[in-house]
Formats: sequence, structure tokens, C-alpha cells
Amino acid sequence: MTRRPPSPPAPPPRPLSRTFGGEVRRAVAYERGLALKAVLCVAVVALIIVAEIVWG
Amino acid sequence: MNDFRWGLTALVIAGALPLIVASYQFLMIGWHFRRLHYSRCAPIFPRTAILIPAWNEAAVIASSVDRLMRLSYPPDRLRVFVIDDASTDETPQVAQAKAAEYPGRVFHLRREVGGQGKAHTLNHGLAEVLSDNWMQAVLIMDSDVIYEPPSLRRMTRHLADPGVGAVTAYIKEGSRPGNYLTRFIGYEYITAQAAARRSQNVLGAVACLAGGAQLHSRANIEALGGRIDTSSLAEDTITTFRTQLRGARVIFEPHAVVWAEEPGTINGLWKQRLRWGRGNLQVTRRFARVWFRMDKGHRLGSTRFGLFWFTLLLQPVFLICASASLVTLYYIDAPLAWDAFHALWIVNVLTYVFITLFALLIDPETGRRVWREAILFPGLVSLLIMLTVIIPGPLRYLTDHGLSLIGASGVRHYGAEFELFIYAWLAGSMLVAYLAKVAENHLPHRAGAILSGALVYIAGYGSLLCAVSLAAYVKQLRHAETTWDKTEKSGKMAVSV
Repeated sequence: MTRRPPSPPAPPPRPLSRTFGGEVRRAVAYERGLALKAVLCVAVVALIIVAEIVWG
Repeated sequence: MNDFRWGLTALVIAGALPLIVASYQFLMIGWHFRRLHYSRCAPIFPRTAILIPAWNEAAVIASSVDRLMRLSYPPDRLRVFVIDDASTDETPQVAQAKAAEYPGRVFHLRREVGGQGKAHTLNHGLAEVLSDNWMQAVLIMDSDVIYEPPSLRRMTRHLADPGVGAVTAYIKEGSRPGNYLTRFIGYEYITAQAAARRSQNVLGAVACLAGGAQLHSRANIEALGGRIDTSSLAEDTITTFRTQLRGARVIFEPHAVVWAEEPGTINGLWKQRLRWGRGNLQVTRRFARVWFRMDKGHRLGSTRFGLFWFTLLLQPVFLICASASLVTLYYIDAPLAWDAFHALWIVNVLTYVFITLFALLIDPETGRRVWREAILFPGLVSLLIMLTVIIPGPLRYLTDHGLSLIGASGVRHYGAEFELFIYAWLAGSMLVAYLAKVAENHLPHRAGAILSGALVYIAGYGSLLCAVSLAAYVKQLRHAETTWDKTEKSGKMAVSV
């Protein structure tokens, strides 16, 4: 019977200041994503306007 | 006569102004990533005093304190002050028990004479935390709100910039399982919090620090005289304006999330929004010299901020003017009335599609829960009018054939009445929304709940909010007594944080 090796010790909790950079990077990425979503929504509205002009 | 006609037409088109301005506000969100404040942030953890005003909050205060103790924040830099506003329930005992459980971290402050409102209660706590040098920042919150663990530290990082006076968070509706009304509020908060506050960040002028999540630097609180204004129903907005008028920045941090329980009945919502509406009218009057006057020290006087503020504040007036003008035009120039109506509703369709779609994409997590209420936000009747305007051909065909099939083709003869009905609907929807409140008040519990819910879906949640704004105008014009009606909270939030 093989014995399971002991689990590695849990890593010490990361200092709160260490999470700062990662959180900011994620937040900035999210906000950039919103700019793309805004463009997407404007495109949908533009399509409706075109449809209204062509078939309205 | 011609001028009169064109004046009426202009008033009709002006009915779309609130939605056009709202769309512009949403467009500005696309620019938010260019105006982020993070380059001036740092991972700092100021010694923070959390003030919880509590009047008969025994049902929620223990769990609130426990959650605050689990915040991702250095424990030795956090103190919680429960400011018991002469509660008559078990609040003092619960707060004392928590103070004993977390010695040196939780404190119970008691006002022996209470009932004067939240601002008075907060001032009691502010006097206490300003009496020594321990406090470097103060977080003002409500007793029932739930902070996600990283929220506070995501707010405090902005205070690394000495130019920042206060920071607010993204308040999300957290009632679970909730009902149709809390889901409407959930969607409303995407538009009013996540979206509007982002655009205000871009503008550099924030309208309001959320009452349940406002973090102030000590310097800011001291500059405001160490006290919260007690003379209005919108003390949060007054604090926000005064902070910016003294040249300090107010930041909205969208990634600091705070959950709040919101009213699940129309009466509860009406009471809460009437207080907010009257408070906003008081703010408008108090800062009359600020609007539309540019100042180097702040952006509250910018034209764009003024437009955001006043189109929202006066939305019911715009709607009533548009409806009244359409009906008048109908009698003097029916074809022109039809053209004006068509132009107004085409704008409504476009802004509705843009705002609804973008709002759901801004907060997809909430969007998955509230997408039905997002679609039905303008109400079923308005949705039908929008469909009629955008695709009239197929709908006319369906209506004609549908009416013939059920033997009701004679209904088509009521075309004039139908036209007048849809012209009057913008204003009429507010009346129907008001009837939802009447139904909830006067019918037996279950019947009242079902009918009032149905009326809100028919008239639209937006119309309900406009009806409350109208009621606020009336109350203010009649100089009705300014009383603090506390929003009832049940503690039924099942948000896992």
C-alpha cells in the first residue's frame, strides 16, 4: 500500500498590498471591455436605423 | 398659428430629451477606461471607523457586524461603531454582545433621545470618532448592507490621492428570493449606479455618495465641519455636493460591490423614493447658484452635469408636456401630430434598445437575473407602441386579421380614440402606475399584490418612478412636513460573500 505524501503546507496568506496590482489590472481590463460593448450597442442601434430607412 | 404648431411639435420632441441625455450618459461610459483613477491609487489601509446608524435593527445588526469582521482589511485598522438611535427593540443588547465578542473592534454608542433621522444619528457617531486621533477615514453605511470582502480596501486605495475627499461603491439589490419589484430595482441600479456613476466619474462630478457606502477621508469630514447636514431629506447628496464644492474629488469605485435590501412592496418603494425625490428638490434649491455656472474648483456647474440632473428631475414634466402637446396638435393638425408622435417614439425605440442592451452588458451577472424586467422597464403598452412605430406593416396586418378572426373588426372604427390614447399614454402611464399603489393599499393582500404588480408591468417601472417624482413635487409645493420615514428591512438577503 502506498502512502499518500503529506499535503504541502498551505501557502501563507498573501499580503493585502500584493493583490493591488492584479485587481487594478482586472478592473482596467473590465473597463476597456465596456468600451467595446458600447461600440457593439451603437452598432445595433445603427442597424435599426438602417433597417428603418430601408424598409420603414 | 404656425408658430403655435411648431412650438407644440418642439414640446413633443422635447419629451425624448431625458432619454437622449441618458443615452449620452451611457455613451460616456465607453470613455471611462481613459479616466480611471488607479494611477493615483496605492494599496493603503487607513485606520477606518465604520459608522452604522441603527434604529430597531436587531434583526440584521449581528450578521452585519460579523460580516464586517470578515472584511479583507487589516483587523487592527478597523473599528465598527453601532450608533443605536434610542432603539426600542433588542438592538442595544445585540450591539453590546458584539462589542463583548470583538473587544476593541466593535463599539456600542447609544443616543437616549432618538427618532430625529439618520443624519442626527451619524453626527453622534462622528463626534465620537473625531474626538481622538485614531480615525484616518470614516465609512458611513446602513445596518443591513453587505460589503463584499474586498470592497473596503478597493475604496480606501483611492484615498492615497490627497485630492480625493470621498469614495462610494456600487450598490446592488440583494433581496433573495426577491420579487418582481426587487428585480426592477436590480435593473434600475445597473442604470442608476453602475452606469450613471461611471459617466459621472468621466465628467468629474458625482451626483451622490450612496447612503450605504460612503468613505470619507478624515480631512474631508473635518473640512465639512465634522457634521452631516440635518436640514434636508438628502443628506447624502448634500455631503457629496459640499465635498466637491470645496474642491475635493468624489470617486465612484465600480469594483467595490455592496449589497442592499430594497423595498419589496410599492408602498415601501413609494415612501423611500418620495424621500429621495423631495431631497433632490431640496438639493436643487439649496445649490441654485451652482447649476450651469462653470467654476475652476469643481465640475458640478458644467452644462453636462446640469443636463443630467435636470432632465432626470424634470422627467415627469417632459412627459406631460409631450402628451399634452400631442393631444392638442391632434385637434389642430392631425397629420403633424402623427409625424411628431412617430419622431418621438422612434427616438424612444433607439434609446431604449441602446440603454437596455448596454445596461445588461455592463453588469451581466445582475443582467441574467433581471433581463425580463429590463425589457419590460417601459411597460407593456409602451413596448407595443414602440413595436407599432418600428414595424407598423406586419403589426397592422396581424391586428386586422386577428380582429376579423375573433369577429371584432368593428374595433377598427375606434381609430381616433386609439390614436388619442397612445398620444396621452406618456402622461397616462403615470396615472396607471399610481393606481398600482392604490390597488396595493385598498385591495385585500393577495388581490392587491397581483393587481398592483400587473399594473406596474402594464404602465412600466419607469412610469412608477415618474409618478413618485410628481408626488414629490406636490409635497414640496405644499411645504409638507419633512419627516424621516425609515425603509423597513427584513434582513432577507441571501448573498454569499
